[in-house]
Amino acid sequence: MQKLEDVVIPMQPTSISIQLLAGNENYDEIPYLKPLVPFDDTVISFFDELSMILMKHPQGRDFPDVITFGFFIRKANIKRQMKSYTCLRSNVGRGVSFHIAPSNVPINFAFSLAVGLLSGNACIVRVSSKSFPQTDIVSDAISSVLEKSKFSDLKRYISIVRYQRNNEINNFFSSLCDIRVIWGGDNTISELRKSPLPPRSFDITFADRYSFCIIKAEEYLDMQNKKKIAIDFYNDTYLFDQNACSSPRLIYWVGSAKLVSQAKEFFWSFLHEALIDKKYKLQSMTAINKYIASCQSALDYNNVEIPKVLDNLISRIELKNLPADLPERTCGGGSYFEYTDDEPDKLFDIVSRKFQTLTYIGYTNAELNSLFIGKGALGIDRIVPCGKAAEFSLIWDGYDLISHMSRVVSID
Amino acid sequence: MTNEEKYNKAFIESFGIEKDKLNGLKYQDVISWDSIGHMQLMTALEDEFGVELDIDDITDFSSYEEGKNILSKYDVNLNV
Amino acid sequence: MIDNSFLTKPVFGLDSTSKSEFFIERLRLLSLHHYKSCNSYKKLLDAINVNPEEISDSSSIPFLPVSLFKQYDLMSIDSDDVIKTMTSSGTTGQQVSKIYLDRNTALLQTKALTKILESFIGSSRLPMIIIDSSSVIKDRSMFSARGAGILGFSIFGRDKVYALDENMELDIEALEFFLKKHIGKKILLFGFTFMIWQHFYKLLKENDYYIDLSKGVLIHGGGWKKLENQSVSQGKFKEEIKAVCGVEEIFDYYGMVEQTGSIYMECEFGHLHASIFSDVIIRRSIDFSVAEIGEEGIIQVLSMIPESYPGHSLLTEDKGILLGEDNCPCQRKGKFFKVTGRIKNAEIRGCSDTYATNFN
Repeated sequence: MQKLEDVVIPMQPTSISIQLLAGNENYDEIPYLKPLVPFDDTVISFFDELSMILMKHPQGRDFPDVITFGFFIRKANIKRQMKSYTCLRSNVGRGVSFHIAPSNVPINFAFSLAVGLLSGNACIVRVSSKSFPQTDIVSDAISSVLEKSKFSDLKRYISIVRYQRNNEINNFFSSLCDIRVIWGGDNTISELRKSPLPPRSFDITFADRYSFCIIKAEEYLDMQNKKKIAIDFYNDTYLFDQNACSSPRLIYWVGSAKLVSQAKEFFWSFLHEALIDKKYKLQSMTAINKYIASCQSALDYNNVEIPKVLDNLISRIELKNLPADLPERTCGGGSYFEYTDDEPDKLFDIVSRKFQTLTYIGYTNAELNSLFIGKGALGIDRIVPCGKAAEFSLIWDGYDLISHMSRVVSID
Repeated sequence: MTNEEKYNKAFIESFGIEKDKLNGLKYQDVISWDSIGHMQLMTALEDEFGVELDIDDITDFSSYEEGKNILSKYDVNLNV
Repeated sequence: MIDNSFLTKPVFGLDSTSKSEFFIERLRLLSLHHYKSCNSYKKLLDAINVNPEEISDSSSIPFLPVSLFKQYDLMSIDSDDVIKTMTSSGTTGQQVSKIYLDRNTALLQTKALTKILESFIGSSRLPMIIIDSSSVIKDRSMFSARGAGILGFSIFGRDKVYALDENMELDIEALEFFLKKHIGKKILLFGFTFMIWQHFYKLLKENDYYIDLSKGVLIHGGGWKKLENQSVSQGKFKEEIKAVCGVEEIFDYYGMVEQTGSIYMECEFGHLHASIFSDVIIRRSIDFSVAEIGEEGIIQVLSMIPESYPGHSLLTEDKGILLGEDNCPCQRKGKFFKVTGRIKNAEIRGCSDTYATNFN
C-alpha cells in the first residue's frame, strides 16, 4: 500500500515495448524490495555460479571480455575486493539502481549490474539497443542461474531490459530508482537528465573522459620484456579500438631527445608486431579518419610533425607543446599524440576534470605518489601500470562505487 | 537599330545596367553577369543576331570587347 | 601564371608516357603554388615533411582528405578574388565542403568540362532537357553541387527546358511542346542519377507514358548509392530508361564539387575515364600504398585545374578499382576505372556514445 509520503509512481508505458532479457518483469514491485547489505552472501553465490558458466562457455574463446567478466565476479575475487571495505557494517543498499549501459561496450552492463547488486541494490539495467553476442551470452547465463530455487528471491532484484531510446520509458525507470548509473558519455548523460529523479535520488555519471600514458624513456630502454609491454599497451587500446574512456590517446615521453628517440623506435616497432600477431583489423574509414585527425592537428596547431609510419595501423602526431583543447580530439582506432619533455610537469598544464586514467611505463609507485598525489590536480582518477587501463574495479572514475551506492545507517 | 545598338541592348537588358557601364565590362564585374546571366546574354545575342554560338566561343566570351571580336567571326559587324 | 597549354591537347589522346611528362610537372608546380599561397597547405606539407620542389611522380604528391574542405576555408587567393563559392550538397545540420574559385580557376573548370563533353557529344549545341526543376538554380549567389552541375552542362544546351516543375512533378506539356519543336533532332538530356530515376523514370512509368527520346543522349552523375538502396543496378537503370523513352546513349560520370570540371565520363564499355586533365590512383587502406590493377581501394583523384584552392590531389571516401591504362576497348587513352561504392562508416567500440548516436 502506498503511503502519502511515497513518490507517486507512474504507470509503466505500454506504447513502446520493453524487452526483458533476464530477471523480473514486475517493475512496480521493485521499489518495495528490501535492500540487501553490501556483499550479501546470496549475491556472492549468484555471481560465483554465473562465473562458472561463463568461464566454461563454449564461445568464451571468441569473446575474451566475457571471460574477463566471469573471472572478475568469481568468489575468490569478490572476497578479495571485500577486504578493502572494512567499515561497511552499518551499510545497506539504497534501494533501486537504474543502469544505462553504453551503446558500444557489450559487457559493460554486466559490471554495472555487479556493482549495483554488490552494494545491496535491486538493479534495472538497460543494455544497448544494439545486439551483441556477448550481451546475449551473459543475460542467458543470468537467466539460467536465476532459475535455481535458491535464487528465486534474488531474481526479483534483477531486470535486464532492452528498449529503443525513449523518454517515456526513461522517465518511468528514473522515477522508480534511488540511484541512476549512466554510462555512455556526455550526450547520453544529457539525454537521461531530461528524465526527473525523485528528490533523494541521484546520478552516478560516467562522462567523456580522457586518458593518457607516461613513459620514462631511460627505464623503458632497459626493460627486457618490451614485447610484453607492447601487448599490455595493445590491451589498453586496440582491444577497444582505442575508444574506451581509459584508452590512452596521448603519450608523454620523459627523457632527453636522444633517449626518447631511441625508445620510440622500439616502442612503436614492438607494438606494430603485436598488431600483426593479433591480426588487428583496420577498417578503411578508420584509416581515413585517422589521416583526417592528423591533418586537422597539423592545421590547428603549429609545428606538428607527422612521422612516417610503416602503415596505417598506428598513426602518430608529434606535438611541440600541449594545447588545452587536446582532450577534445578523440579519433580512436590507433591515433596517438606524442609529446616529449625532460620533466613530467608540463602534464599539469592540461590536466582537467576530463582526465581519467594515467598508465605508466618505467615509474615506481613512490615516484608516482610524489608526482601526483597532493598536487591538487582537477583530474586523473587512477594511475595504473600499462596493461591495466581497462581493468574494471569497484572504484571507477573516482567513485568508490560500493560506498556510494549504499546507505549508511547511523545508530547512536 | 544599328548592330552596335542591338549588341548594347542585349547587355543592358540581360544585366539591368546602364550604357555607361559597358566599356571595359568583364564577366563577373557586376553581380548579374554570373553564370546564369551569361546564359541569358548568350541567348539574347543569338536571338538578336540569328546566330548559333560555338561552345568555345561562349566560354571565351569574357568581356564586352571580346564579345565583339567573337561575333565578327559570325559575320556580325558591330561597327555599323 | 602556370602554363595552360594542356588545354589544347587531345582530351583522351595521350598515353601514359606522353601524359606524365607535363602532368606531373604541372601538379608539382601547383603543389608549389599552393605551398606558397595557402598557409594551411604549407603547414600540412611541413608536418608530413614533403618538399613540393622535389615531387617527381604522381604517387608522391600529397593528398588531402576531401572532408578538410568542410571544416576549413582552404584557398590560395585573397578573399577579394573569390568570385564563386561552391558547396557540396548535404543534409541539414551537416557541414558542407566550401570550394573557393577565382575567375581563372572557374574558367579552367568550364574549359575542361566542355572539352571532355565535346569529345563525347560533339561541339554543336543541342536542344537540352534538364531533368530537374528550375528552382534548383534560384539562389544565384550560392550554388549547390546540383545547381553548379546543371549550369556547367547547360552550356551545351541551345534551347533548354526543365522537365520538372517546382513540385518536382513531370511537366509533360512543356516536354511535349519542346519535343515537337525539335522533332528529328538529337537531344541532350542531363540530370542527377537519382533525380532521373525518382522523378523522371518513375513518373513516366507510373503514368504509362512514352516519350520518344530515341535520338537523345543522356548524361547523368551524382552517384548510385540511393539507387543501390532501392536495388537498382547500373544495368537495370539503362534498360529501364530505354524502355520508357528510347534513349540508348547513356553516359554516367563521376565527379565531385571539390574538383569540378575535370570529370570522369563513362565510355561505351561502362568504364570511367580519366581525361587529360585528371588522373586517378587507387590506394590500399592499410597503408595508402598504390593498389594493383584490379585491386579495390580508396579512390584518390588528381586534377590539373585547381589553382585557387589546394584541391589538385584529394583522397575521396569512395572505393574503386583501376581497370587498366591506355588499353580500353573504346580506344581512349589514359586510366580507366570503376567506382564500387562509398566507404562505410566505421563500426567503433568504446564507452562514449557520441559517434554511436549517429548510427542508431
